[in-house]
Amino acid sequence: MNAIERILTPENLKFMLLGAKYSLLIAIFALIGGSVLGLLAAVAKMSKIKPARIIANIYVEVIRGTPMMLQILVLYLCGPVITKALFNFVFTPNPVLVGIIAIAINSGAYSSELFRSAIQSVDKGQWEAAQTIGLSYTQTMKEIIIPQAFKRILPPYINEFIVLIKDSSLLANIGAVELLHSAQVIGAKFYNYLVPLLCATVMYLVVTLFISFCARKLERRLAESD
Amino acid sequence: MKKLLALLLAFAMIFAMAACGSQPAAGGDTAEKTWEDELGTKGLLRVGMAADYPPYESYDANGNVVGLDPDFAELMADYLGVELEIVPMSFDTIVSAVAAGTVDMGLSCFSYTEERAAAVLFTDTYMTSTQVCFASTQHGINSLEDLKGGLVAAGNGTTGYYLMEELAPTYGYDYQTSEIAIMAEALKAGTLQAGITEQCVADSYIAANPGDFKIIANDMTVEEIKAIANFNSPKLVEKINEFLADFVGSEAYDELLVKWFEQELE
Repeated sequence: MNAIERILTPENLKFMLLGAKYSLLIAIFALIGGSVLGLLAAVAKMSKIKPARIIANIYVEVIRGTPMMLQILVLYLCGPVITKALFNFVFTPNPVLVGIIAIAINSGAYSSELFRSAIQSVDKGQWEAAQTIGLSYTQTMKEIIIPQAFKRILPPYINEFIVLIKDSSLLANIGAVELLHSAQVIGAKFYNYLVPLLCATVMYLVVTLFISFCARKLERRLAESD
Repeated sequence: MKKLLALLLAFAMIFAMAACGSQPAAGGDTAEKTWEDELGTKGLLRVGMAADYPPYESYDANGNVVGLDPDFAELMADYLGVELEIVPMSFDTIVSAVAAGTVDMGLSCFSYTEERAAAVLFTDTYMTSTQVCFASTQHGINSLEDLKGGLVAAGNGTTGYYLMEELAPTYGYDYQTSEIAIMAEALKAGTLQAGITEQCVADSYIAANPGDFKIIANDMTVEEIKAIANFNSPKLVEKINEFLADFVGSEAYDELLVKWFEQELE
C-alpha cells in the first residue's frame, strides 16, 4: 500500500487536480475557438465566392491531413518566428496558450465539416419557403436553418468536446500544464509512473463520463420538444 | 457509472500493489542467487537509455543508438559475457522502468541523487558531470539575471529540472519541462529563453549549431554519474562495480572519453 500513500498525498492530488482543471479549460477554450473557425470555414466552403472556398478547403485539408502533434510542435516553435517577422517582436508563448490555439485550429477543421453537413442536412424546401416570404440570407440562416442544424449537431459536437479533453494531453510534449503532464511530473519525481497514470485515468474518466451523461440528458430533452 | 469507477479504483489498487511488490527484496531470497539469475532474460543485459542526449547517447543515421553510454554498456556486457540489448525510452521513465524490472539497468548519464537512490541501486561512479544553463545568442540573454520574466526549460525528471525549480524564485522566471531536442529548437525560435542540461550535452548542441547557442551559467551543480539497477540485483551491481574498478582510469577508458568528447568539441 505504501506506494499509493507515498504518491497520492493531498499535495500531489491537488497538483493533479490543477492539471485536470487546465485540461478542461484547454478543451473549453479550444472548443470555442474551434467553433468560430469551424463556422467561418463552413460558411466559406458553402459560399459563392471562389477564393473563400479555396482558402477554406486548403485549411481543412492541411489540418486534417497532418498529425495534431506536428501542428502543436510547429506552432510552438514557429510562433515567435512569425511574430518577429511580422511585428519585429519576439513573443514568448505560454505553452498552454499555444496549445489552446493549436487545438482550436485543429478542431476548427473538423467541426467545419460538422457544421457544413448539419446546415446542408436541413431540407432545401425551407430555404425556398424562407425566400418566398422575403427573408434575407442572414435572416434565413439565423432564424430557420441554424436552430434546426443545432439540434443535429449537438451529439457529435459534445463528442468533439470529449475528444478535445483527451487531445489536450498531447500538450504534455511542449511542457504545458495539463493532467497527463502533471502525472508525468509526479511519475518522474517519485519514480513510479503507474500510480499517477492510473490516478489520471480515473480523473479523465470522471470528466468524460460526466459529460457524456449530461449529453444524454440534454439529447433526451431536445428529443421531447420535437 | 459508480460501479465502473469502483471497478477502476480496484484495478488501480491492484496495480499499485503489484508495483510495490517489486521493490526491496527479501534478504534470504537473494542470498542464493547469482548475478546471472538477476537478469530478466538469461544471457541478455537489457539497458534503458534516452537517446536524445549526445554525446552520451543519440541515434546515428542508421537508427542505432551510439555514444559513450552504449559503448560503456557494450563493454559491461562483454565483461559479463552476455548479449546486450539497448532499450530506448524517454529519460523520465527509465528509473521507473528499472524499478519495475522492465529493463535490467539504466545507463543514461544518471547523476546520483538521494531521491533516485530510494527507488533503485546505483553502481560506482564512472564519471562526473555538471549542469549548465544555455541560451540562444540571438535574444540578448547573457546571464541568469536576464531571465527575469522569461521561460526556462529542462528535461522532466532530470537533476536540471529540480535545480531550475529551486532557482526560479531567485531569478524570477517561469519554467516548464521540455525534451532536449525540442528545447534546442525552441531556444533558437525564442519560444524559450534558456535551457538547463548536462554540460557535455549542451556542448554537443552548441557544436552542432555553430553560433546559435552559448552557455550563460557554468558548473551549477557537480554530479557523480553512475549506472542504475533494480533493488533485486545487488549481485549484478557488484559485478558491474568490479568492472568499473578495473576500467575507470585505464587507458581504454581515456580513449573512450576522447572518442566521444573531443570529437564533439572539434
